[in-house]
Amino acid sequence: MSAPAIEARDVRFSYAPEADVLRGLSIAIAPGEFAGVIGPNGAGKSTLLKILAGVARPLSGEALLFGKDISRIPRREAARALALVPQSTETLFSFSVGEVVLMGRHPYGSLMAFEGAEDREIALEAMERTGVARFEKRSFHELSGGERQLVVLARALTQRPSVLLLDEPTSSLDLRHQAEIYRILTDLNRSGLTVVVVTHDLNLAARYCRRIDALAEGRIVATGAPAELLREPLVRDLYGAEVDVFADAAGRPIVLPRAGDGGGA
Amino acid sequence: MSGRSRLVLGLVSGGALLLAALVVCPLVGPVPVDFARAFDFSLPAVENQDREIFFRLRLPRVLLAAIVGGSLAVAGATFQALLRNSLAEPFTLGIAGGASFGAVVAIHLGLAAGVLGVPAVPLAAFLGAVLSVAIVWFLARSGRRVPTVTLLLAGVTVNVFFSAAILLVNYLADLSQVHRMIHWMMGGIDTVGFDKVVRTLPFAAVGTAILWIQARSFNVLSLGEETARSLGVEVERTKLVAFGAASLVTGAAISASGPIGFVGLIVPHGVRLVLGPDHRVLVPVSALAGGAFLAVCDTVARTVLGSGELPVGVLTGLLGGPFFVWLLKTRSREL
Repeated sequence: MSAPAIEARDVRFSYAPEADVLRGLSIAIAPGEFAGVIGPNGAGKSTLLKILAGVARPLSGEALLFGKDISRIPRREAARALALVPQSTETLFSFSVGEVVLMGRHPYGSLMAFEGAEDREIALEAMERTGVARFEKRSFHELSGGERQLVVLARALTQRPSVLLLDEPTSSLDLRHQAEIYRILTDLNRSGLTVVVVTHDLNLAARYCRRIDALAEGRIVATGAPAELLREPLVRDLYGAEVDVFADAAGRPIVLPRAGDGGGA
Repeated sequence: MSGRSRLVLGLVSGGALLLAALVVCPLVGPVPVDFARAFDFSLPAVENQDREIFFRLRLPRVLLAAIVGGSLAVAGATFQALLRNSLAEPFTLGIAGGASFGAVVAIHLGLAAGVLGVPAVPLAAFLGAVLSVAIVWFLARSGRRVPTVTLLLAGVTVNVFFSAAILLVNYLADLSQVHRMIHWMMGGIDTVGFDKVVRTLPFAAVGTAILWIQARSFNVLSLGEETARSLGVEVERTKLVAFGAASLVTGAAISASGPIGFVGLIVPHGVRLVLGPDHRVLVPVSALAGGAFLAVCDTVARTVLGSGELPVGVLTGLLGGPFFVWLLKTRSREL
């Protein structure tokens, strides 16, 4: 049996003493999976992603990338296997879109070297894949939030990763950009990329992810296919809110908050 | 234009600017110097006034200005990248306060003899710079990491503390000492012979080389520390090495010339406007352009009053203040 693409084993983490964010969390995601991690604010979703990406170290337990402890893998080597897309990205100074995307080649370059023709080709391919090639010369600052996220996604692809982790990739984006990002992720996943998305948007998760992990109080409390997992009692308990769960034409769940007395029509 | 061609363009034009400054500036001054006579080595030195002025007074001074200017510009570009703040400059983290404190203490105690041929005042200034940087670094540490925000706050705090300490020493000192202290703190290129040049150059050269090697990581750091880490940058190690190298470069410069403000702000911004923000281009070209910039500023400063010299720190301050306001008003989106 092959090792999971990424795995956390009994991970504990805290930002302040005696206030553990993650409390013995374990999760294993197989190669080629498209997983969504959901859970209320403060449950530890973003922290989990940082630990899986190796940018934060657990207090105890371990994070593994293809079966190897990520803290023992040289950072540059890890960066060739795994890419992280944060919730939002700001650059200091006016780097162009092309320059930002080329930074994805950092783990492949040496010291002061400039990127070569091959690197530029890979970057261009990534920009075409996310539809931002026409912005190449523009300053990253000038772009809207949705355009930036597509650029950052292109930057992540330029790393040529096997695993892509995304933290709320669509949280401040309009409908078109939400659909755009998930369409690209679905394509990439079909061609073998392991995708893990942390999200608050249960409906997008239900539509695109093949597996959902529910996180509460620093632990994974449930795992399953969207249709099994997104049921009314679990979602209510998870978020502490009354919800209605419907099914769309394809049987995928749609979750809406229940309008209270006097609220809504 | 690709990064590599921008680097070549920057090195060639920056190098040409610096070379022009190094040739022209020593010829400018109240006493005209005959270039041909200055290089006429057949006359004995004492009889060749052109040679004395050119080689003992003006050339060392122009070279020192270039080294100090290049150092401050490179350090400025580094601090802007490390602190993720394009209004940062080499003195943002209290290094000028520490160095000035060292200098005023040495002046007050009347220390004359130095160590290994380095006179007491620049030596004390250098030690003060190193001390202040070490204090800031350890104050800002939180566990294994040194967050940028606490680094800035620690820098401001240390600067305020040293300012008060300097005032105390000023208060205790007699008038002639106070005059020397204030003159030192104005920042000026004041040198006879090549001693200061020889002392400062190794720091500038080695420091710039170290920072140039880190430049690729500085680019990635501008996307944020977490992203940089996920792209394979050893963030804390990079910060420590770059912070250390930039501080030594600044400390050496300041011990030779006193604090000369705004060079570290103006020059990197100018280079960025022309060649873009890529640090692999910015760091080396800032070194050349900063050298040319301060060499010219110092030449203006020593001639503009006709009789007597204006400390160049006063001039760069007068230029830099409005520039800072302009940056704040027009480019705040990038800050």
